[in-house]
Amino acid sequence: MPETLLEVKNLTINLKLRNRAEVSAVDGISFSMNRGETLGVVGESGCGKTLTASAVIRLLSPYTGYIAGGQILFEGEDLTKKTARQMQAIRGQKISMIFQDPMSSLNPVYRIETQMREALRAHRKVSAKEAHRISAEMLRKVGIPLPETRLKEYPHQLSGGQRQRVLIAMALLSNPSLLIADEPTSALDVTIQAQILDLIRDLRDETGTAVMLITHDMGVVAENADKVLVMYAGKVAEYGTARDIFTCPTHPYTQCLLGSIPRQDLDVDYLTTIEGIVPPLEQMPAGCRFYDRCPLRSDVCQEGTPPPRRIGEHVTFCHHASCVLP
Amino acid sequence: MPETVLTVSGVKKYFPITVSGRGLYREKRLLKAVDNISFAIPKGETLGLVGESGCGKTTLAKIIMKLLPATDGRILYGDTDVTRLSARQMRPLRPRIQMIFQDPYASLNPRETVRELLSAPLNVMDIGAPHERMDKVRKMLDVIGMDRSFLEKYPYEMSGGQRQRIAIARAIISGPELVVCDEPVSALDVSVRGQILNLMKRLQRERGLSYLFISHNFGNVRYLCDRVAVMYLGRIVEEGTKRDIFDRAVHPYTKALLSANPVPDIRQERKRVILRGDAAGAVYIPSGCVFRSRCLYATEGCSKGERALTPLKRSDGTTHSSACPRYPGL
Repeated sequence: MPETLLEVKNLTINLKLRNRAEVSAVDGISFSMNRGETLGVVGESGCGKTLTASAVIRLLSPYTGYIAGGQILFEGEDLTKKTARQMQAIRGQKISMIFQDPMSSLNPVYRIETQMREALRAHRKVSAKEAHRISAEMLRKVGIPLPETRLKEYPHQLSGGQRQRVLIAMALLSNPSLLIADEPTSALDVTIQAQILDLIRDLRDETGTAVMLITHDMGVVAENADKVLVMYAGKVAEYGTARDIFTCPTHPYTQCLLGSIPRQDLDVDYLTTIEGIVPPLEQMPAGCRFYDRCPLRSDVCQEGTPPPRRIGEHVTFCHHASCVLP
Repeated sequence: MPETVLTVSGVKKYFPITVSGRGLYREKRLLKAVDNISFAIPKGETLGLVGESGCGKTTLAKIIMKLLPATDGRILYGDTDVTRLSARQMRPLRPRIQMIFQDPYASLNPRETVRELLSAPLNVMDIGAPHERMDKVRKMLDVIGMDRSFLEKYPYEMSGGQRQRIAIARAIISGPELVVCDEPVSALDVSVRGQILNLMKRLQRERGLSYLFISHNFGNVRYLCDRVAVMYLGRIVEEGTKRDIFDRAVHPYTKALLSANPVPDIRQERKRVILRGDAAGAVYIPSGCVFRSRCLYATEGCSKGERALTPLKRSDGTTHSSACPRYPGL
């Protein structure tokens, strides 16, 4: 029986708008992750993927948003109840995060060694010599050639792929049980993307770190995730095992999304598209949030949020859900 | 024999750069951004140009648009050689070739309304009688599937997809034969990309447009292109029909790119080829085959002399060329 690492229950994140009104940018989402598992979080920009991840690692800025409800149970403890000081011991130690743009995550005026040492010393008392040794070993582990030389260099001297490797190395210094990767490869070329994703997968298998992989690329999710959370406009559209969601997507949003992606292995004459755009936060429909763009919509969809329905190995939030092979 | 709208022959673009030192001790080298590239695009066809960032795709597009002078080689719009033409001489030819850029947030003037944005090309290129131009603009909105209420809107009032539609309308309003599209959908949201690709395909069918479609996304290329050229370090390493490239690629680089690109299908067990390292910089290009430094199949022979793009024998008479020195041994 795999051990549950993270369980998010009914998480709601409210944002404060300029006119002091409040909207729920993430609205009552629930999911869980086991140790050593990869969860893919997919959806369009603005659907709440990054907000959800920021809430888990408690990096929401109090000026823009806050956790308005729900629980985040990590190793059995509710992170929403932790103080800032308590969170500091967890953040970077048990939960680490890497971001999309490796250049803006590294400080351009410090050497790699200095930055890695700082990350290391935030949680452990180590001598400079020891820090150097650990850093070099970590860089070697993430596949950086000549780690001793790289440690002396500045971020601008590394390529995009190398920088992302450095960030992964820094994130893994304390051997966290959860790694949140927010679009870790969107800024990279496909060949480098393949290298980085392979690296993350290998490290996960080796250290047993669970990975929350946030992306908008369905292909990346299909090839890397064990479980998938499809989000739309701050709500869960569909959630289940990757195998189930890709062989039998039941939510019209997932189906449309898969149909709208041109594929290198298939010839299609015309792509099915999702017409229109995600509604702005202030103008969310009262019922199903996908209502305006849904090809299957009917009157029942306007009456409140669709209840969860269990189909096969996954949960879908749609009245008209049915298994359609893509 | 179909009419050719664009011919690029032996085009080179070298940038002199200083790699180290100052003053007398400067070490100068040539950065070969585009090196000896040739292709032709027939009327109504789409050529896809794929490759990693920094391989010279955009530089080539700029040379074709005459936004950058070529170091060597010739560019023909139809039968007209435009290589040596001045900016003024280019003006009457401009309506024939237009361009769509990657980022519709940057390519549209934020201080102009849709009406102004769309009538500008007509005014600048002096197309049609002035009183007919507004009519043309309105019709154009219908063509791209946008409501006429958008006429008085500014770019900030529109979504990324709507902006890119306006950018496309602006490119085709002058009635071009060829549109050069530099990553037209990569800045857009996933669900919007399909809409724009569908629009581009429909416009091509309705108007007999040709596209030079620059992208790093193989899915988009397969959807839109008839022929595909794969670029690496300023050169075309493989070129052929869509089928040649996607179903029977021969160059190790093309194969690696195809296998690196994730496919949203969990039932496929795919064999992955992971390339080592990054692309070598365009300053220090390996001798012999340019891909040698990252190739899994490189042998000593690959370092001797560069092999030009060589046509392979195909029974159906199509041309499929590869620059791999080891073909057909591989």
